[in-house]
Amino acid sequence: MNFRGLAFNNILRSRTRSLLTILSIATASVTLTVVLALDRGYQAAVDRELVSKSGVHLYITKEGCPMEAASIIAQGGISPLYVPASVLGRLATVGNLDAVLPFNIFALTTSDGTRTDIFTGVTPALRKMRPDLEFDRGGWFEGKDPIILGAEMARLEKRAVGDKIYFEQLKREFRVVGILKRTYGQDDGMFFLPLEVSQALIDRQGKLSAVAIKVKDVGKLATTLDELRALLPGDYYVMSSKELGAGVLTFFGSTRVIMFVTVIMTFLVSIMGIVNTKLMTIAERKREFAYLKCVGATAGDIMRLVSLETGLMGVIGAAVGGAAALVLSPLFEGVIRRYLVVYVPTSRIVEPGAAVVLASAALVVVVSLAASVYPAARAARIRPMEVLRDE
Amino acid sequence: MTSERAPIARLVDVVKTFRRGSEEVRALGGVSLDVAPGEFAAVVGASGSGKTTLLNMLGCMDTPTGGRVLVSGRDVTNAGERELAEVRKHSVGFVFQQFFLVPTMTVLENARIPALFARNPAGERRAAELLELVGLGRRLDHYPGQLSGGEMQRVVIARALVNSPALLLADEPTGNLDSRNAGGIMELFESLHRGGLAIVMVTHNPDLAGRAGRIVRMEDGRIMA
Repeated sequence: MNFRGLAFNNILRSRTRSLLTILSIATASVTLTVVLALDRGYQAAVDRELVSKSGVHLYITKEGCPMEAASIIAQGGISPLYVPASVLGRLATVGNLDAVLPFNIFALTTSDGTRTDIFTGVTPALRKMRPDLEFDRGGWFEGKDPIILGAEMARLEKRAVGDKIYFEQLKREFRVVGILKRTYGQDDGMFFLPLEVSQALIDRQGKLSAVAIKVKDVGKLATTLDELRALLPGDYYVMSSKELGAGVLTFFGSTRVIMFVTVIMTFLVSIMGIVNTKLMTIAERKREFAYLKCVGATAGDIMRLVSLETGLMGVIGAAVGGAAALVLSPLFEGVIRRYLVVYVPTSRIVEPGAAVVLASAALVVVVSLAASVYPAARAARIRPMEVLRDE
Repeated sequence: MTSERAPIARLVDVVKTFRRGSEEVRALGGVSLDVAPGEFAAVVGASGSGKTTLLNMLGCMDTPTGGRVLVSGRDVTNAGERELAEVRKHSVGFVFQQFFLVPTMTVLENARIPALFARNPAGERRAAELLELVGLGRRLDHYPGQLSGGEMQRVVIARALVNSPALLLADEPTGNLDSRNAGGIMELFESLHRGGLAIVMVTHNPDLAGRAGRIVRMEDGRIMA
């Protein structure tokens, strides 16, 4: 038996109260872990999908709100902004361009509202832009009404090469000519169509969502960016994939603020709960603390004991909360995806790794200990003669 | 009221006053008392006569308004909280009417709590010996809820003695017990007294007081006999 053992025994004495306190700490822990995991996971996913793995160095869009365009480019939907295909002719004079991919992207929700399909119209330039995109089965567009499926869509639709696939939103049937290997990126969740077909489907012939560019020499990216900006009329917007990613993250900033305010509120409620519980406990155990002082406990011993009791509840709450966050993160991810208004990456965005769980647990324990300071100081001030009062 | 041997605890003309609203209450009005080693004293008196305040002074639980308090030869009249805690830890054991046993800890664990605060590594062995001495050697792993009132008070006595104090202070130690268990506790006190332990016991029970070697009668904050 040591101080920890004594503290643990004291926790067990009021099981329901301790359990409720631990649950309140665990709730704060889950909230913090999920928010930290989302914060880190979202940034990593945006970087992965829009910057590192996109294969795109520059985007050309029509001026307006570039972040709206970014969101549309990445997520789908039919943007009111478009780039006329004629812009492609102007790019021929720019020397550092390795691949130029005009594309058209839009999203359509099924009539029952259960799913939104993202269609991307592309040209063969995609293969040069994204050499990492490989076919699992089949190959490039050929024949009548061809369509290429991302790996996840093939799995969801249970389609193989040669199968027909009907889209009730478009009232069109296509023939699967290729299925891509899984990239664990946004490609997995897309349907790829020939550019002209996709334009016709939404009555946007000759119009593009944007133009994606891959440069030959990344070291000259800034020069190329300036060259393109000088070349194109003022109502065009040229941005790098990094700027695109940064813009999306700026959009995400407001969501981030709300998330962290929620964490702070959860922590405040939890702290008030801990302080209230400990003060009640101390009031009930006043004469017991006085007795402990009679048998030689100093004010420091009493402070240590009360802080240990709270700290242990903090450790248990943090462990429960961390475990719950790990188990429930897919559920939280589903909810967050549904309501997130900015660009939603296709790969996991709530991924509580060991670093996040440990950092969150450490903060929860520190906050729990901080919450115990006032009750512990109150307990430490109890005078030993209180033990005899009213006897 | 002095002994030829150096007293374990000594009160010299101790005065204790405190305020109750606008009224000043004189709980002790110049009390002098020596507790000799191995002495068994019973403090008796009506409610409000100052018995508890006297015990507070002997146990270093409160400081006097006037006079001097010496425990184990140490003048603790103006001692700070830490120094008083040290004296309580090593020189005095306490037994009260209420048991203050932790229900989720075993008898042995309860008995060694004071050793925890004294950082006494031999506490567990000493607690086991004392529990054997008070007749609970076979109940070390039992919980307080499994014991009778008399047995719980025996655990409390073992706990009070775990740091080997020279003085045991008991405030109505049989107040919550039936006559059979109260008799058992008194026999235990007598046995401890025969072993050389000094005991000061506050009681309302004249029969129990009569079994002590000395009776200290208090009235209106003064020792009458």
